[in-house]
Amino acid sequence: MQPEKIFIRDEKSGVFPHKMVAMNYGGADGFWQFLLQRDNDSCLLGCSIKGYGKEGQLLLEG
Amino acid sequence: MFEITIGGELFKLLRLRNPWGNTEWLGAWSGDSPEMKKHGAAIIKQYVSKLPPDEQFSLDADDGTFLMLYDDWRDNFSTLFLNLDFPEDWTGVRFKSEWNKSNSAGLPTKYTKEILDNYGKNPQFLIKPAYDTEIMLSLTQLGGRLPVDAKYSVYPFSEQLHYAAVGIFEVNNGDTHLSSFDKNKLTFMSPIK
Repeated sequence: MQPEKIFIRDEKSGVFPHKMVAMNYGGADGFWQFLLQRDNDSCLLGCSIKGYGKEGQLLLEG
Repeated sequence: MFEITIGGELFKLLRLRNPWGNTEWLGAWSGDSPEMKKHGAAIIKQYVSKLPPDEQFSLDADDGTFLMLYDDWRDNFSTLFLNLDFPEDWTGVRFKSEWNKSNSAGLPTKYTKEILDNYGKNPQFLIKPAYDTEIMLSLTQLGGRLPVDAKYSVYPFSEQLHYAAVGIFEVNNGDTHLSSFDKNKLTFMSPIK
């Protein structure tokens, strides 16, 4: 089954998508609570880095 | 994922594993960080010691895992992957098929009879719900990380992964397949990925 994919950082601006997260999860704190719930359901599969992080390029998604 | 409170301040932490093993987080709350040296005992007391025995871990173990603050995780990672969690009363059916030289018809690029008929050669699956219901459809292909002839590909695995889309059509009662592309019967077309 293909996992659900959530973008947590805008690749162009390099920032957390506050508007999307506020709309769908009730802000960064709400997103944290969402992650805790998903963790309790053993649904956290992984996360990846693509492009540039806060400190510069890290590694490609893979 | 866990929370600890130190001196009245709440810290949201994630424990991650880098399956590739070639890089690791060296910032705040990493293995040799000042935060870990100062507050490692609090993590053990408030979180690790409360885990089931087989899930407890050592903060300085060389097991490929590391801790990150939620804020740092948000700043550095770009994508999160979640398993889909279906309700207990849902059932699943898996169909296995393939696009090959004889049935890789693609999407119609022009509205000519030949091209529209060609679309009907794509793999099709007939689903007839007995009553109004919710259906989740997912199309997958083998991941590009798997070796082919002992050769590994590199991201984005363009040699192994192919573009594909899912189209849902409502066929006439009694029909078993769509003979050609019919935009009037199309109810959903996924993005091409």
